[in-house]
Amino acid sequence: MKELLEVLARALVDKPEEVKVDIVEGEKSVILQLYVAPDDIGKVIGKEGRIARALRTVVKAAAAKEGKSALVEIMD
Amino acid sequence: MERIVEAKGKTTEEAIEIALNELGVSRDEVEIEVLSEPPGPEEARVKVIARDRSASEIKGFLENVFREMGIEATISLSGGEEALELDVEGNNLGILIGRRGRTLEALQYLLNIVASRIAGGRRRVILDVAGYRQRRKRELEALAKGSAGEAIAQGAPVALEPMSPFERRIVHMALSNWPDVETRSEGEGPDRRVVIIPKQES
Repeated sequence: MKELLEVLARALVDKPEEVKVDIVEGEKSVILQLYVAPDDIGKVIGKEGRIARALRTVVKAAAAKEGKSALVEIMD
Repeated sequence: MERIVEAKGKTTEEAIEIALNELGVSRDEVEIEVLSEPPGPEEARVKVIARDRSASEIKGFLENVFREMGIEATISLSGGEEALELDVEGNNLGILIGRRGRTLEALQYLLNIVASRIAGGRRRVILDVAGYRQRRKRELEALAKGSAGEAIAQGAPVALEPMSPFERRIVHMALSNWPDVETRSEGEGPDRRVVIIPKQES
């Protein structure tokens, strides 16, 4: 899931080398903390949060496959 | 943009080589269709399709996404300049579709943004998984017609379930040549839905 979010985020931003994902793993849930360059934050959030919502939907689908729930936090 | 070359040769290999030379691309950048192969009529004939680099990069991105999701699937490209179509086939692809196609919509939305970044300009991409869009289109057309009949019979507007822009468009199109009703989208964001309104008899 970490790698999935990294692949998605890197493709969306201008500074892919500054994409970093930290995970806090629980038994049935996982929190993914997404870090991007300050100028790229809008690129992973999008208008009215649409990009962030789409990222969450895709990551959650992947997590569900492993029987987990996922929470994506965009850090600034 | 895609370029297509047909070539002949004594063997299939030779025909492919000739076509690749003419296109000036390498083998992993093309799709090859064998039209005839010896021992057959006489010589080998092939059709070689070269897509622009952005199409294969877009496909490559999606392959990376699937790999990280632990999904084995094949992606085939079709369509041209206006909209690039990516069709995904494989087993157990339900997680790519999600409830009411929500995961598919999210993937398609992200893919469109990434595709435009790769192409350096707006690039429209349509993603389909296991024929879901085609099936859903038929369902929506049937729903549109049934609901329009209901609106006419009751002489009152019928509101459908909230839908994505892509799905609403299918409903509007399905009823565009029905003279007795008009369709409108109402509501905001994820609640936006089509309303079918019977026209007043005058």
